[in-house]
Amino acid sequence: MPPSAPVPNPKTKKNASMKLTAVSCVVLLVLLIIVVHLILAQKREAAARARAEKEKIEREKAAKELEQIEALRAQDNAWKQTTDRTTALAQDKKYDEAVAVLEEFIRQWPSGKYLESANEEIAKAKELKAKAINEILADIRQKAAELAEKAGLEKAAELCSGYNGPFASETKDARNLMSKNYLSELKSIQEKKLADAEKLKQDTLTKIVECILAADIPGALSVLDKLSDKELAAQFSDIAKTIREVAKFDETLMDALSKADGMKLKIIHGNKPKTISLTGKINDDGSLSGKRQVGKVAATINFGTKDIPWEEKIRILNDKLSPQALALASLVNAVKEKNWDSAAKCIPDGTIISDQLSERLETIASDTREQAAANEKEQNQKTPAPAKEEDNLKFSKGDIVLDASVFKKKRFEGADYDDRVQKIEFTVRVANNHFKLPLNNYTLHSMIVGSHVTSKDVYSILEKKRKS
Amino acid sequence: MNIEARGKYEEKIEARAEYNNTNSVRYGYKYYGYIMILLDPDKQIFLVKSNKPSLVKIADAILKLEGEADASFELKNGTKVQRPKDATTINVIP
Repeated sequence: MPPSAPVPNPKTKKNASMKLTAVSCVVLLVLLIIVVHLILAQKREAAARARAEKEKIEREKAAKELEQIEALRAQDNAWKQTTDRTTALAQDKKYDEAVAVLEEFIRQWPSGKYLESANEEIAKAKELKAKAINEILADIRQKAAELAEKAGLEKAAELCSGYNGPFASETKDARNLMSKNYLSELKSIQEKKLADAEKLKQDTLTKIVECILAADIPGALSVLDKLSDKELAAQFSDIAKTIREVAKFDETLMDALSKADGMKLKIIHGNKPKTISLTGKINDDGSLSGKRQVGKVAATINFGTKDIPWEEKIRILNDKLSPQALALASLVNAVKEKNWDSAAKCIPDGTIISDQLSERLETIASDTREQAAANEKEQNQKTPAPAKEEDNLKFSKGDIVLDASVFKKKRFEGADYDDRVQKIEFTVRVANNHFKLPLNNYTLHSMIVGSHVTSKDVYSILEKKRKS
Repeated sequence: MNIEARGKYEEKIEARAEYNNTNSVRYGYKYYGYIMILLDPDKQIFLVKSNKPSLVKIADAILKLEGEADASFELKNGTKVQRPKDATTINVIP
């Protein structure tokens, strides 16, 4: 407010001053009031802001807590659903799916409060799965064992490998191993069975061959009759038939001879070969009768089968016995005579014993030859060995010639004027004129003899040399 | 010794004889003859060659002297060999 024009009146001046002061005071007061008011207003505003901020924080906190509560609730619900599902799956033994559900839960709630429980549930599911697999395998094993006893190892192997139930893929390796074991066991049993059968066959063959090589036909038949294995007996049926034919050789021969009335037959009678005409009659003592006509004289000769040469027997039975039986009978006959080479030529072809017979006969023949050679060697050692050609040679007169030549040189030499010295050069020669015989280990003594100049018949060897 | 068939052997032997038979001090031996004795592997006499028949007769006896240091000997009746009387040892009387 602009100041008014000065008044010269003092009183007025004082009043004016007072008025001015009063106004100033008022103004100041007003200003003070305004300032206070402003300060208060500011404080109120700050308080309001703080309050609003606090409220906001509280709201946010509440919202967050609510959110957490919601989340927990959702997690609870999810866990409940998960456990419900996994329980159902576990009941159906779908452990892998249960584990997958639990793992999915963990992926959704990686840090939730159910993480540990989920992991425990996964471990439990896996454990249950392993247990279930073991139970299944035990069950398969038991059933396979039962089946192996009832229906054989092959069926058991098929059961193991053909299982198509729960955990088929998980148990595949173990089941294949069980199947392989059953098949392996089956194979070994079959191999053992075959080996046993082969051994039995070889043993039987050996026994039969040894009986034949001992000319023991009844023994061979006994071996064949004892065969209890039908399959093996079937393998030996042909040779059994042949051996039975050989066993009845004499019987068949007698039968043939009794029916061969008038047949010409060569026999050995009185160590002489004779030809007779069979009468077809068998005497009471089992001998046969035949007539021999010499000029006008007819004689009856009784003879046995032993008097018939083997070739005649074979001729008579040529159409009565099989070729194998004839060959085997000839072999046995040769064995009786220990004619191993001849026996080797009579081995029946194509029979089960042919190869082994051939080998044994070859061995026996070889042993026999070696034994004969050893005996001959022993005999040779007992008798002095024939002298070598050189041993028979001897020096005869004139083969060895001794020759010598002597050259003497005499001169006077010595203490006395008429002392004499003879220098003798003696050359010896030995000549071996033999055309083949060397002169070995002989000794040549060469000596020069001197005679005493005064004593008659006294001599001395002047020089000597020995050549050994 | 070994000589192969149709083979030959030759060897030279030298000897020295000292004697004096002309003056009053007569001594020594002069060359008399030689003898060759061939023994077979069994040490038996196989062949004898000598220029003196008397030596041939005493071949086996003279052979025994072959190993003696003093090889002088005396013939009695042409067949017996013995040491000379002045010899120190007498061991050869076949």
